[in-house]
Amino acid sequence: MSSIEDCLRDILIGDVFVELEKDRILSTASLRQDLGVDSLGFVELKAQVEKRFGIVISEDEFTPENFSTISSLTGLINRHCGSGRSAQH
Amino acid sequence: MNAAARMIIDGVDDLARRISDFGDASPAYDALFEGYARLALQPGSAVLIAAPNGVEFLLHWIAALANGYVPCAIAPSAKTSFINALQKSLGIAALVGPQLDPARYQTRRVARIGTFNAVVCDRIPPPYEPFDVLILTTGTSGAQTACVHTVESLVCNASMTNRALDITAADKQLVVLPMYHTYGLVTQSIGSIVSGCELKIDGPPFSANRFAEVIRRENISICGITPTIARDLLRRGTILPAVRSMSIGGDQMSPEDVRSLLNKPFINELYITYGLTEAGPRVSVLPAHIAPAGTYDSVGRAFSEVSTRIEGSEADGIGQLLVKTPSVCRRKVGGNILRQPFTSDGFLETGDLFTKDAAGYLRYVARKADILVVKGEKLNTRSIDQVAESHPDVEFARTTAGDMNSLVTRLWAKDDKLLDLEGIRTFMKSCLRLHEVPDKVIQERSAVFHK
Repeated sequence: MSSIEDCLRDILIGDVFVELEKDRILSTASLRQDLGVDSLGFVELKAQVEKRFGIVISEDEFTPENFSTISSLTGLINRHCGSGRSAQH
Repeated sequence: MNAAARMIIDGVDDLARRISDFGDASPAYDALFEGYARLALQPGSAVLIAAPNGVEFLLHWIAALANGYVPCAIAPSAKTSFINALQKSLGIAALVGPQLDPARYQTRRVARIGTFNAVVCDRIPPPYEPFDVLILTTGTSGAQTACVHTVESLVCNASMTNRALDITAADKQLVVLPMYHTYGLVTQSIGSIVSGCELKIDGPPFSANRFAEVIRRENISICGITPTIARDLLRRGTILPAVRSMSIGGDQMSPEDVRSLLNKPFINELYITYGLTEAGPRVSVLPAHIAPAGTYDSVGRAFSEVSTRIEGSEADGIGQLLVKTPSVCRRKVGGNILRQPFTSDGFLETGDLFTKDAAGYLRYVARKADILVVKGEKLNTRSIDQVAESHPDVEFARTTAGDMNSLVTRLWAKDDKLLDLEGIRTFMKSCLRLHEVPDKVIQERSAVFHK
């Protein structure tokens, strides 16, 4: 499990309030369909990702494709930070 | 089966050809219908459907209805505690949704219907009738109340809206708002079934750029958004492809916002609407593109089939808006309902304060109840207070709007003890939906405790 994916699971549980145990949130699970993230949840998720990874996600990047799964969101974060970057704590 | 239910159920094959989303192909309707039949619930049993926007959600809703069950749509982000409370409060017989975990609902029985799980909770005597529909009010955690509509009343309301907005089979409508709310479900989805227009369903995340892209790519002619989204589009200076009609319903639009939207060349027709779940939901519309500028601060006039009057107004003309509509709900149900919101002569008490001018234009003034709109979402502050007050250390809670569109809950402790505010906020988070969780929790001392 990468540190980015681990951090995204923490955000989903702690800030978006997804009701699943951390180890049951799969990287490939659909944030919308499987985890029930709704419109405000996506806004919160984007804000927390920006805060914790020190990046700015543009309107063009705030898409269902980039926010489809933990894997796809990790890809977006890696493109901003360069792979291997971990969250700011 | 009444004519409205027959139209929806018999028209599902035609509908399936006219609706689409951006996800994987939806399961066939017949398979969903059979899946619900296998649940073998009694007719009139309520089925809670917790699913994101999509074709599959709408087909599930119709399949449950066609089996004589009573569909009730809810946000897929609803918490287990809220769903459990709803189950008791509304007499829910089964829950359906992607990835539903039966263990959370004290049962091991789970069936697969389409790509969703179905959990049968209780084979209780159904408190509803076939072709009733349950619609939750405000969707606020803690307030487990709903309106009991009939399919007929919802089809009636969608038809009135279609006529007012001149929506026909030649149109293509885009749904971006949640389909578990009345606007997405009734006004847009059932409205599209009635009109015969095409329906494109999109889901979160919403962004202005994507909204523009979908309108362009899909040749959308009709779309509906909230005032929050409308203001965001104005703030960003978003340029949309031309749409024939844009409607905005929800909290209040300012006359300046209406004027700014009318100045956008891509909006041909702009409709400001007012409604409430109890009314089915739409009550009035302002066709702003042809309305006098002096009415931009209004929500227009009631549909021709709807009567309104202002109750208890004094010199200022402000009073509660009463509505008599053919699409009114049969009754309200749930734990907190002490009386039905109807007058003896059949008018619905909206709980909203309005004025009405000589030409019939309705102007919103305030809400009577403890309803706030924060971050574009309606919430009931009393329900949030009740969740806080269910914490063993909290004597009393009062939630109000804070600065910058925030939500603040002030707490008074039992025995005036020092409260673990972070712990209480975590406790509240476990019961509330995201938009209901207060941004700030403050402890007040008993000296300023006023119930």
